[in-house]
Amino acid sequence: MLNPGFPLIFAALLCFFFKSRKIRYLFTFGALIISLVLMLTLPRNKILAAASFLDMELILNYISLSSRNIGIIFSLFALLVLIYGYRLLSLASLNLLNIFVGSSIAILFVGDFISFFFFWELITVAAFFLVYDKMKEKLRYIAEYYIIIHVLGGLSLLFGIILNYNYTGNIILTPPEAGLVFFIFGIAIKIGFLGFHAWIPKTYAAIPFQLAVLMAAYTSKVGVYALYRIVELETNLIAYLGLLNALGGILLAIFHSHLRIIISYSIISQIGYMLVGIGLTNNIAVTGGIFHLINHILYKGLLFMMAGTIFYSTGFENLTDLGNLWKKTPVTFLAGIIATLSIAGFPFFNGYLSKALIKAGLDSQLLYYGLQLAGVGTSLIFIKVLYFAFLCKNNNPDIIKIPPLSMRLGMLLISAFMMLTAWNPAGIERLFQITPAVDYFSGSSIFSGIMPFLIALLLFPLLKKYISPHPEKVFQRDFFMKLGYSFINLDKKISRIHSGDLIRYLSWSLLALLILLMVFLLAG
Amino acid sequence: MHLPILLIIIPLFTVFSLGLFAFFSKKYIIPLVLTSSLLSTVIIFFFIFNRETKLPFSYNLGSWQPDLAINIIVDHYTLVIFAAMGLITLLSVIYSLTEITRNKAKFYLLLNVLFVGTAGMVMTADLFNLYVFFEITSISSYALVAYNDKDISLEAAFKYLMLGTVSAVFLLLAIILTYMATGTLNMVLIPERLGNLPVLTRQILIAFYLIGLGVKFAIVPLHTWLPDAYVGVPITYNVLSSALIIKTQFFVLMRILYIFFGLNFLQNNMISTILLVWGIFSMLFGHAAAFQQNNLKRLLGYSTIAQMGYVIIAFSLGTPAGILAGSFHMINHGIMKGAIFFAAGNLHKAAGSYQLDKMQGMADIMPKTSLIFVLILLSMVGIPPLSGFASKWLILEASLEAGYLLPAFMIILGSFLSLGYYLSIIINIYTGEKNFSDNLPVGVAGLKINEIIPAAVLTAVCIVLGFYPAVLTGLIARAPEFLLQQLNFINIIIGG
Repeated sequence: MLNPGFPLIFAALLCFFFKSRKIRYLFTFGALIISLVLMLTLPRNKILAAASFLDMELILNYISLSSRNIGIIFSLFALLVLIYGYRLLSLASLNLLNIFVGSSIAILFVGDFISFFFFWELITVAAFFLVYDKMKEKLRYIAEYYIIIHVLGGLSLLFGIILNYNYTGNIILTPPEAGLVFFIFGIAIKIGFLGFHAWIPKTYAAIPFQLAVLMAAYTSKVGVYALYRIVELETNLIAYLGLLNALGGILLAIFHSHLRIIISYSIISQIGYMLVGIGLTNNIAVTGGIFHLINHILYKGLLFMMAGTIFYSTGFENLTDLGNLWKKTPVTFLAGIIATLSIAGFPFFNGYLSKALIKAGLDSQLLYYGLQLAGVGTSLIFIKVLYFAFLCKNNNPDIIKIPPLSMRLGMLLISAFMMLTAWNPAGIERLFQITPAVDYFSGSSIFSGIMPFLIALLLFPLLKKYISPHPEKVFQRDFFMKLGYSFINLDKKISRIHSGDLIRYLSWSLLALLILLMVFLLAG
Repeated sequence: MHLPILLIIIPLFTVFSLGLFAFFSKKYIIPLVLTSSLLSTVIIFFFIFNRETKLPFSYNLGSWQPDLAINIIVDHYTLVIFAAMGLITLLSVIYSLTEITRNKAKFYLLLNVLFVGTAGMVMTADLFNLYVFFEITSISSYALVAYNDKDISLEAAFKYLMLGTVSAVFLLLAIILTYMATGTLNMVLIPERLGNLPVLTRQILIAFYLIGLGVKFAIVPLHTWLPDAYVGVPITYNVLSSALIIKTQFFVLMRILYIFFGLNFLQNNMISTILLVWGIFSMLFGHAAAFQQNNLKRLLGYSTIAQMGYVIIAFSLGTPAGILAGSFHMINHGIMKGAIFFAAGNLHKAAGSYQLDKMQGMADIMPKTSLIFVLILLSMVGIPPLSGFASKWLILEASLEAGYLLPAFMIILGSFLSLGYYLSIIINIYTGEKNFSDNLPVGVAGLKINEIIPAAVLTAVCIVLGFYPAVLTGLIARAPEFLLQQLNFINIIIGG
C-alpha cells in the first residue's frame, strides 16, 4: 500500500501541469485527506510496500504507532495552514508545500536508512526553494545558509548510515551499531540543538510569515522523530541534554524583541522538553515526549500565526513598535492568550497534558525542577510578548490592513482544536491510542502546572526593565558563517597561485615527478 | 567479425572524406558526420547489448600470429568507456550542428581525428599503437582548444601543447623503457616479463606512466591546462573532454598499472596508497579552487578535476567493488557533466557570457534549462534520488569495505565543499531579472531542437539512473574481472 506521504508528492507533480490556484488547492486538500485516511486505516507494524535499490531492500511503508500519531498531526496541521494561508500562499509555494509536507510525512513511514536519507534530503531541498526568493537578496542568502547547514547534517547522517551498513550489512532503520556520533551530529542540526540552532531564528524570522508557520512545524520535529527512532543510549544523557536545551533556549529567547525570533528560540526550548521525554527509558516519559511534539506543533503554529497576523495588520514585528493591540485585534489577542497558556503548560490548556505526562515519567529531582524552571522561563517570555504587543500603552500602531477571514478562521480553528484536546483527554488518547496510567487532573499535577505560570506572573513586573524590547537586526553572523568565510580566504590563496605562468605550471608537473621518484627512492 | 576496427576506421574514413567534401560540396559535411557517428554509436551499442555472448573479443590485424600482431581487444572493462562514448559522442555531434558556424569542415575533421584517437586508445593491446593514438588524441585536442581563434583559446592551447608535450615525453620514455626491459610492445606479453625486474625499476616506470598520462586526466598539480583550456572552446569540446577524453586517459593508465604490474605489486609497494592520497588531494584541491571562479566554464573545469579525484580514489582501492564504483562514477560523471555543459551552452546563448554575474536572472528567461541546471548540480552533490547519489554511495561503500575510513570521510567533506560553489551558480541564475530589463539579449527567441535534446536526454538518464542504478552496474558488472586479474586479460589473446 501507498506510503501516506506519497499522495502529496504525486499531488506536487500533478500541480506542475495546472496553473490554476483553485485546482492546486483542491489537489493539496485531496492529497492531505487521502494521506490522513491512509494513516488511520492501514494496519500497523507490517511491511506494506517495498522496493529495491542496488542490492538493498527498501521498506517504503511501515506504520508504527508513534509515526502514525506524528503523521496525523502533520497532515492536520498542513490542512490548518492551508486555511490560514488561503490568501497568502503563492502558486509556486503550493507545489513546494506539497513536496515539503509530503516528504516530512513520508519519512515517518519508511523502514530503511536509504529511503530515510532520501526524504531527509528532499525536505531540505524543498525547504530551500520555499525560503528562496529571486527578488530578495537576504532571503537568497538565508536559503543558502539553510541548505548548507542541512546538507552538512545530511552528509553526516549519510556517513553514519554507510558506516553502519558496512558494519552490520543491513539498512533497516534501527538504532545503529556503528557511527552513532555521525547520526547524532546530523540529527542535532536538524532539531536545532543548542550550538547548532543558528538556522532556526535566522530562517523563521526572515521568511514570509505564512511560510514560517508552515516550516516551523515540520523540520525540527522530523529531527526529534529521527532521534526517537535512531538514537538509543543506555543512559539518560539525552534527557539531561534536553534539559540544557530547554533552559538554554529560554536564555536565548528572553532578551530578544523581534516576535518571530522569540518564538523561534522558544522552539529550541520546547524541543528540549521533547528530548527530556524521549531521552528517558520509561514508557510514560517517551509517550509524553511524542505527545508533547504533537501539542507543540499546534501551539507553536498558533503562535506563529499570531505573530504573522500582527505583522500583516500593523506592518511591525518588533515589540518596540507594538502595543495596545488587544482592542483592535481581539481574535489575535484571544489566540495569543490561548497559545501562551498552552505553551506554559497551564492546566486545562493544550500543553498541560503532555507536560504532565513527561513530569510523571521523570525519575530525578534535577530534571523535575529544571523543567519547572524552564516552565517559568517560557511563561515569562510569552507574558512579555502578550504584555508588550497587546497591553502596554507605550505605542499605538495603526491597523493598515484587516486580516482576511481565512487567517482569523485558521487561528480560531486551531485554537478550538487545542481547547478540545485539552478538555477531552480521553478523546485525544483514543485518537492517538496512548494509554498512560496517569491522572492528569490530580491536585498535585494541577498545582505543578499552575506554579510556573504564577511565578512568572509575579516575576514579570520585577524583571520587566531587564527584558524590555529593543531594536535588533534579524541576520547576524554566527560561528558557522565565520568558519565558512575563513575557508573562503584559504580558497583565495589557492586561486592566487594559479598565475597563468607556463613556467610555473611546467615546474609543478616536474616537481610532481620528482616527488614521486624521491618517495620511491627513499622508501625503497 | 570486423566490428571493433570499424570504430577506428569509420571516423578515419570520415576525416579523409571531409577533406574532399569541403573542397567540392560543403552541403554533405553534416550528413556525413552524423552518419559516421551514428554508425559508431550503433557498433558500440551492439557490443553493449551483446556483451554476454560476444565479449571478450579480440581482433587480430592482418591475421598474424597473436603474439606478433597488432591486437585490438574489447572486453568488459572496455565497456566502461564504451558506455560513455555511446551516450556522449552522438549527442555532442548533434549539439555541435548549430554551435559551429564557421569552418565546419575543419572542426569536424578535428573532432573525428579525436574519435579515432580515443577509440584506438581504449581498444589497442599494443603499447606503440597506444602511444600513436595518444598523440592523435592530444594533437587534435590542442587544435580543438585553439579552434575559436580567440586570444584566450590560443594562449590556452599553447599552454596545453607545452604541458602535453612534456608529459608525452615521459610517456614515451616509459614505453621505451618497458620495451628495453621486456623486448616486446604487446600488452599481453609484457606482464610476465616485467615481473622479473627489480622493484625500484618498476616503481620508476610507474612514475613515468603516471606523470605522462596524469597531465591528460588533470590530477593536481598537473591540472593547470584544464581550466584555462575550458574557457575558450566550443561546448562540444568541453563535453567531450570531461566526459570522454579525460576518462579515456585515466582508463588507459589503470589498464597499464593493473595489467602490467598486477594488484599485489601495486599494493605492496605503496603505489595504491600514493594514488589514494593523491586522489584525495586532487579532489579537495579541485573543490577548493572551484570556489573562487567567476567563469562558469572554468568553475566546471575545476569541478571535473575534483570529480576525477573521486574516480581515482575508487580505482586505487583495488577491490572489485572499488573498480565498479569508480567505473560507475566515470560514466555517471560524464552524463552529469555533459548535461550541465550543454545546459550552460544554452544559457550562454541568452546571456552572451559565461561570467556568473552576467548570468543573473537567466531563470526567468530559460526556466527549463535552469531547472536542468539545478537538478544536475544537486545530483553532483549527491542528493538522492539523482544518479550522483548512487555513485557516491557505491564509492563510499567500496572504500569502507576496503577498510579506508578517512578517504570515505574526505569524500563526504568534498561533497559538502562542492555544494558551496554549486549553490553560487544556482543563486546567480535564480536572481531576479535585473540585467535584462531594458535590453533583452539576442537568441531568446528559442533554442533549436538539436540544442535542447542533448541536455534533456542526459538529464533523463541521470534521473533514471538515480532510481535504477542497477541498469548501469549490470552493464559494467564484470569490468573488475578484466582489470584486477591479469590472466583474464592475457587469455583473451594467448592461451585459453
